[in-house]
Amino acid sequence: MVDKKRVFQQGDKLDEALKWDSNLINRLIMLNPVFTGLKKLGKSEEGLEGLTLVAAAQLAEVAPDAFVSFVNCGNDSNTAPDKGETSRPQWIDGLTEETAEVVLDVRPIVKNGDDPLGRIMEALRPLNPESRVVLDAPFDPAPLKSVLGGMGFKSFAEQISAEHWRIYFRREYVMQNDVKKIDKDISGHASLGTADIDVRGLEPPQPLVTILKRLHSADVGDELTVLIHREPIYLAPELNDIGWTFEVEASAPDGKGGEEFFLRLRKEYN
Amino acid sequence: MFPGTILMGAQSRLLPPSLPFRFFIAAAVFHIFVWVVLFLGAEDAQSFIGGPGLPLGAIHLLTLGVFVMTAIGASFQLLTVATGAAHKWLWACKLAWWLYLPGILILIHGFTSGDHHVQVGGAFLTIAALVVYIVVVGDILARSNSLKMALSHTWVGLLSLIALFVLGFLLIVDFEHGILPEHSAIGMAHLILAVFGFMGMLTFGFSHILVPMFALSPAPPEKPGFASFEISVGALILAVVGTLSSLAVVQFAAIILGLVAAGMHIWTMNWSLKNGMRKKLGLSFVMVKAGWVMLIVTLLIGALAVIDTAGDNVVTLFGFLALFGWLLTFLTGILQRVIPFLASMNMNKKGVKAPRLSEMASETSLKIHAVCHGIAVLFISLGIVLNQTLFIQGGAISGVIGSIGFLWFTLAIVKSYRTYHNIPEAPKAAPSETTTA
Repeated sequence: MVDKKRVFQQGDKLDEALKWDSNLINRLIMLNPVFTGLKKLGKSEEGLEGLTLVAAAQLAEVAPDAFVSFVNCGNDSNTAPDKGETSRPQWIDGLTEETAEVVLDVRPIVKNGDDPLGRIMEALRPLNPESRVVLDAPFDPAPLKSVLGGMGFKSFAEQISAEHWRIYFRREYVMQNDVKKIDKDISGHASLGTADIDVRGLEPPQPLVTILKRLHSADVGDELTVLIHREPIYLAPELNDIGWTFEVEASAPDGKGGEEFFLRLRKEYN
Repeated sequence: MFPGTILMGAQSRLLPPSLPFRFFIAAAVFHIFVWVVLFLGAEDAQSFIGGPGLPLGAIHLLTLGVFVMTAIGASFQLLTVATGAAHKWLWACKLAWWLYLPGILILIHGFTSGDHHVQVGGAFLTIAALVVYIVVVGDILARSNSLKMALSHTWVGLLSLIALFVLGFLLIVDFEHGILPEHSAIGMAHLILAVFGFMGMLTFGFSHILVPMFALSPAPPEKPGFASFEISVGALILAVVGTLSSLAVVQFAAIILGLVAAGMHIWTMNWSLKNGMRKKLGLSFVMVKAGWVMLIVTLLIGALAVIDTAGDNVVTLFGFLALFGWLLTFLTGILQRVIPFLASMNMNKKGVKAPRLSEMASETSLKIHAVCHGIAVLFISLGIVLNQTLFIQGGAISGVIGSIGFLWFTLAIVKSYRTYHNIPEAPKAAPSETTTA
């Protein structure tokens, strides 16, 4: 059962959200199949102990604020979805069904009573920056635009007829490929400041996996900051393998008898 | 912020590299002697079910010299890094080494020569070393509040270790004084505790850290993982009780439970592999997967042994496949990743680029090892089934060649580590400069 009043924040736990919204796991799988294994377990929250929405957003390769909006939109909460661009942007010029990289009409899927999210994600997730998409839908899918915004897609919607909307997308960046565009809104520890990625509270190897997911294909000179609650010893070999270095810039007590660390990662060579 | 502070206290969880590596190098050397002694004792090996002699020496060269040696080195290093709980007593780790190495050398000499006093002396030293190991690891586990899956398995592994060395000591005393009512049943219980209790539990538990780490995947789902753990503990208890009481029905139930637990464990590991970012895991995981297959085969052979319809040597085959087919295959597979990984963790000199993991050693030695190991397991299995000494000898020779390949690989990693540390460190960097990881 969904609690209409519950609005989840970035620091909330994913397993709590899954308990509040029984359909969330299905939507997450459509968003990114990385969540498929959880569905197979029957109890979707198993294995997610301690995983915050921020960390889950990293798994989903969606910016944290967009991911939280995505989680909340199933709750009929007050979270305002991204409306996309309001005035017709220049990049739509010349964009037609012939020139778009992907053309997708989800109206038949919706007519059959199915959710087209999985189909859309499957088509759009692999796209490179500057790829453009034409999507036909029976309504203006504001929540979809919001989550795609969190994956680096700009959007613009126009109504063709009463039950036909055409939405144009253009990919600006790929989350895992451009570390400089990582959302900066993650709240960090008071004494360590904020970081691009916060993997505190995750059990090994999740911090390693979450960080590495963000590092592949970056350019030399790119940097990324990380808050982590464990000494980053395991990171060294994996980072070295992909040309990254790291430096511990600060550490502070975590209030539980341990320490937290602020790392700066830098792409040094290819 | 304190820019320029490198790793800060991070090294505190890293042991001096010589400490874990002495265990790994020793294990790689013992690995060769396992096959050599098996070759020399091939005639007795095909139907071996216990008693002093070369086969007993070969088995303990493998269990104590390779398996436990590796387990000690890996536990000392991996558990501290994974749990975040630093060693309280580094001297205890060194003490364990200095007790354990002479202890097992004397003990194995006692097993092969049949000299009771040598066996007792070696057993005392070995047990003393293992008690130190249990205290050190137990202390780390007790201070850890994460990694429940790995920790639960390790606790059961440590309890099994206590039980198995108590039984082992009783068996040694029994060789001379005949105090035990059923020497062979207690010998089999000792084997089960060693293979499925201590090593099996550690293998399963550490896999929950290592497999996702190497596959770069999320942690495997906990529910089937814990179910597998609970069922495997039940299987272990039933197997020991069934063996000591000679109740075939209980033994059979243990094997069924063991198959279920193994199946669930393999499923969770495959979940990690499927959901991992790294798809190409190389020869290492070919060995790991072969080890999983051999675990199932071992349990099926165990079922045949229990229902007693598959010939005289099926118990010997069960023991051989458990030790060489499952554990040795899996262990050498996972070590191919662990050893360079641990070496690389210690390569963090300022301004000196560390070699990539793949650059630290040639894969040729590992290919030789894999092929020869496979041939060895196959030939010796056939030798046991067909009562053919020649097959066992041929397999053992192949095993020797393969194990030399594995030692070559291990030493290449050590050489790579030393070469790296022979490069002078860069002059002190400006505060904002980053450091090679």
